[in-house]
Amino acid sequence: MSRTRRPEGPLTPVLRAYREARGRGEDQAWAEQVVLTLAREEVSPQPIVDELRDALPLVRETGEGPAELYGPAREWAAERVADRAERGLATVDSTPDARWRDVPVVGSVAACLVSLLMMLVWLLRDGLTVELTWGLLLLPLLAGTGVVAALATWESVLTRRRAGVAAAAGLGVAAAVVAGLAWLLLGTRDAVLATTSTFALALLAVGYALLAGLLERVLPQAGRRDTAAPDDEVWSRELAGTLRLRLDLSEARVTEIVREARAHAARSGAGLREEFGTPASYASRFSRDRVARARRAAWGWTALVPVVVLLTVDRLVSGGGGDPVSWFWVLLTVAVCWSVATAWRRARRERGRPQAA
Amino acid sequence: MPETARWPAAWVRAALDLAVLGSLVPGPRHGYALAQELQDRGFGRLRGGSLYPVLARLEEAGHVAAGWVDAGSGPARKDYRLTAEGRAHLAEGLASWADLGEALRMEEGP
Repeated sequence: MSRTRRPEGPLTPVLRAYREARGRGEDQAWAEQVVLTLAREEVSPQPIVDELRDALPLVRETGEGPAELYGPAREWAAERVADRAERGLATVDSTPDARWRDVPVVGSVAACLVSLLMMLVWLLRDGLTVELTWGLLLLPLLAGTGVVAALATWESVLTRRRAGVAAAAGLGVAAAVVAGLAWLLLGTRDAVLATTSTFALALLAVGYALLAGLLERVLPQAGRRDTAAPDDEVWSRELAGTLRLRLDLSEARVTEIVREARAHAARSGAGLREEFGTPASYASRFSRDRVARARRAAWGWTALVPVVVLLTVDRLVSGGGGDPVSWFWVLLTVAVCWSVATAWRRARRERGRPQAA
Repeated sequence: MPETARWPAAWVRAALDLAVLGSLVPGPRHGYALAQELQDRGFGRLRGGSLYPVLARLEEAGHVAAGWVDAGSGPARKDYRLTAEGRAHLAEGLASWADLGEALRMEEGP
C-alpha cells in the first residue's frame, strides 16, 4: 500500500533540520522561537527559511547549540531583520497572504471548526437532538468562506488603494455574508430536513474537513508574482501595495516614499528597478512608522466599542441586572474602554517621541 | 566620478549616516545631489535604494528636516537640511570615528 505524504509547510524542513543537526529538541525550539519573532515582525516565510538555513551549517560543524553560537533567539532574529534591511534584502512580500485560491480551502477548514463549535453550543443550549435545515448545514461553510473572502478582499484592495477603501471593501463583503447568513437561516428555518442527534454535527465537521483536503489537492497552487517589473508604473504600484500591506506606514508616508523614488529616477535617468531594486526589497528597508501603527491599533480598539456596548445592552435588557452573564459583559465593556484609552495614550506618546537613528 | 567606493562596502554602510549628515553641512540638498556628492567624496555610486532609507531614518530621528520644493520645469524635489540635533550627532559621530582610528593604530615595538 502506498502512503501519500502530507503536504509540508515551507518552514517544516528547516525546523526538522535543526532537530536533526545534533539530535536535540532544544535546537528546534530555538529555531521555532526565531520563526515566532520574525513572524511577529511580519517577515515573509522565505526570508525566515533563508536566515535559519544560513545559520545551520555552523551548528552542524561545531556541535554547539544555536543558543550558544548565536545567543537568544529573539535577539538574533532582531539582528537579522536589521541586517537584511541594511543589505537591501527583502523581508516582506509583495503578494497578499490571503489569496483567492485559499478562500475555499481555508473557508472549509473554518467551516469544520464552526461545525464543532455549533455542536457544543447546541448540546449546551438544546440538548441531545437538533433539527437539521439547509440553513444549519450550510451556515459553517458560508460563515467560514465569507470571513476568508472578506480578508482576501481587504488585502487585495490594499495592494492598489488606501487602507480606508480596502477596509470599506472588506466590510462590504462581510456585510454581504452576514445578510446571506440571515437570509439562509430565516428562509429555511421551517423546512426541517430531519430531527437527529446533535452529535451528527460532528459528521458535518468531518465532511467539511474532507472537503478542505480535497480542495487543497484539486485547486492549482497560486503562482508567485513575476519578479521582473516591466516598467516604472508597475514598479511604483507594486511598491505602494507592498508598503500598504505592512500596515505600519501611513498613506501619506507611502505616497511620499513612492513620489521621492520617482523624482530620483527622473533626475538620474535610471529605471526604478535598477536604482531601487525590487519593490519588496526596497519596502523592507524602511523602518516601521510607530505613530501610524499605534494610531491604527487605537482605531482597532475603538471600532470594538460599539459592538461590545450593543451586545452588553442586549444582554442587560434580556437577562437583567441579576444575571451573572450580564455582569461579565459589563466587565468586558469596561476592559475594552480601558484598552481604547490606553491605546490612544500610546498613540499620543509616540507622536511626541523621535525615533532613534 | 568613480563608480566603486574607495573603501570596503561594509565600511561605507557603517559610515553612511555620518557621510550623509556631513554632505548637508554646506547647505540643503535633494537626494540625487547628495548621491552625486557622496560619489565625488569616494563613497561610490550610491543607489536610491540605499540612500533614501538612510535619509528617512535620519528624518525620523530629527537629525535632518525635509520639505518638497517646486523645481520649475522638472519634477518637484525633496530637499534635506541639517538640524541642530543632526549637527551635534555628526560632531559626536566624527569624534567616535577618530577614537576608533586611534584605537586601530598600533605603535611599532622597540
